[in-house]
Amino acid sequence: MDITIIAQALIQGLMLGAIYGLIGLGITMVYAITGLLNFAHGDFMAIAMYLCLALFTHFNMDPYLSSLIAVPALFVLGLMVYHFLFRRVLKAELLMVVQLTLGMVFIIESSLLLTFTADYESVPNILHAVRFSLGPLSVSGSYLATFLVGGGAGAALYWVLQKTDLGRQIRAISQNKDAATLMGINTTRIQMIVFALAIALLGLSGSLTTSILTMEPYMGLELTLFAFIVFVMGGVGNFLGTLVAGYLLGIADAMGSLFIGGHLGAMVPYGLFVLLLLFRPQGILGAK
Amino acid sequence: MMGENSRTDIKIYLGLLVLLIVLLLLPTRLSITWTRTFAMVFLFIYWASAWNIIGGMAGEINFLHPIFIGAGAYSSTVLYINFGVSPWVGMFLGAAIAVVLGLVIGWICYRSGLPHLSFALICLGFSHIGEIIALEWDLLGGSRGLVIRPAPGLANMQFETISTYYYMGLGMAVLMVGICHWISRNKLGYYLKAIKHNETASAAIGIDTVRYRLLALAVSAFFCALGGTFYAQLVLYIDPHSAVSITAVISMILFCAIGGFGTVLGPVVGTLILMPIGEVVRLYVMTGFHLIIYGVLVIVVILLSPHGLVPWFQSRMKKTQEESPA
Repeated sequence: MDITIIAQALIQGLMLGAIYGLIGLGITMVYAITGLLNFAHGDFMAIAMYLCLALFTHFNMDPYLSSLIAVPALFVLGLMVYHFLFRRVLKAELLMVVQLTLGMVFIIESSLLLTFTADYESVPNILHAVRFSLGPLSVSGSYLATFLVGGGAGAALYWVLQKTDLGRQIRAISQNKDAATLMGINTTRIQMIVFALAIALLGLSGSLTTSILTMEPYMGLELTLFAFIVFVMGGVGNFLGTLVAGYLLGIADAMGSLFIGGHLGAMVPYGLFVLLLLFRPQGILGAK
Repeated sequence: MMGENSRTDIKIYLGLLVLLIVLLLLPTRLSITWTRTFAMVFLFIYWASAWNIIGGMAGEINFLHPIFIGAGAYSSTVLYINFGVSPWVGMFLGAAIAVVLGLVIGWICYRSGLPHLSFALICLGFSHIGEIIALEWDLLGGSRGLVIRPAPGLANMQFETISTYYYMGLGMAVLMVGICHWISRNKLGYYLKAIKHNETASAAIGIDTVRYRLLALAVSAFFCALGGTFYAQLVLYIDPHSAVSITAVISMILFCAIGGFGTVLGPVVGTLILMPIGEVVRLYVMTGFHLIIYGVLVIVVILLSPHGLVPWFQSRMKKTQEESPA
């Protein structure tokens, strides 16, 4: 096979990987400070994408512009979900939380199905037809934007986690919640903000990928699965590992569809994950 | 103490007996659509109870069941369509395949002591792979699925009247609940309970946790696969989305959650409440809306009574008994 085709796929995979890292980072942050997981995580990204679709069909609004609406809207949605639902099960057993969020999966997926039908959709953005080339390689503008904005957001968030007061508070809670509370950190407030921030990230990821990923009402669970894979691959609770794992998954995804193709190619990321869990269950950057 | 417990038990058994008699007489009053719906409700009671053995009793977040159900549905159907093998025989091949798959996947996961969450993910991953295999493999009909030509006859596990399916489903559900009851009162049930509450401590007192979790998984897989064959024969059509369905296993888990995880009657109560409501909504309001109702109900139940309806009801009964002097 031509080496440029492989390089081309590698670049696209890497660029989409920025998004996988970003949605995985949301899961990692929420897990770090609440110890809980949200099986409806990917469904919130589906909500963002359908929001862009609705804004495009009704107002002809570019998805990039829609992100200015989608991100705050999902932040508020995140605050509400945390306040009315998630907060109440913080101390329940893991299985109960799984149930609660699986209930949310059903509600979101069916609502999307009833509102938008089961048709496959995608929304073009202003950069979709623009191609940037470097030598024999060329890449679509929407991929490049996804990479720059998604990767940039991931890097910025990592900087926030490492260098700012908010980040230090988040890490303190993830290390020892009781001690952090005793040090005067408002745990409840931080948890709420982080949960909403994770959902807001999905708003950004959704608006960036409307032209790349095909929308359908049931896409959420698969996105959640990808985010979880990234979360576990990176070494549970490891922020940097999550971002790295996102890129790896993006590449695995691209290689799978290039060399195998079709549905079988879609198995590659899962196969990789299964192998990884068997031979290195602590994740790529996790400590033994 | 003992007397009070057995008095509660007798009340529950009487209640179940009345329910059973009502269900036995019901088909004479029901339309064909509703008889079919109830056959499906019984199948889900059966499936949810089988899931409950590994999911509720052993406390695992297990999503492998689409594979087990698919193994049962596809094995018997492929054998019947291509080789004329009776589904009564084919279903045991399906069950054997499901047990082997369950044991292999389970052994790999339990051995390495994966945390609950990674295990749940790996299960979802495997189920997804199972769905993809069903989509890709021509023998299994790909995305078009497999159609079973109607040829009523006992040997073909196809019946003239829908009420035969109804009674068969009812029989399966009763049998499965009986098995769960038996397990919960026996060594396996107590071991699973111990493993659920503290795996490390259970291992320390000498319970071979891997072995008993595998045993529970194998039992669960075996019966789920048999249910898969029944499903194929009831609908006479299977495709990857209906027979290797992650939505179906989530529904089962939600039914167990509403009724009460790990309790014998939880899956029965949860399914009997949710599925008929869902069906009414699906038929008279809007298709697809029933899943929203499931989602809302499970959230309400978890917020109000986190352990489900059966434990809530039991504690209520205990309270009233303690309050009344007689």
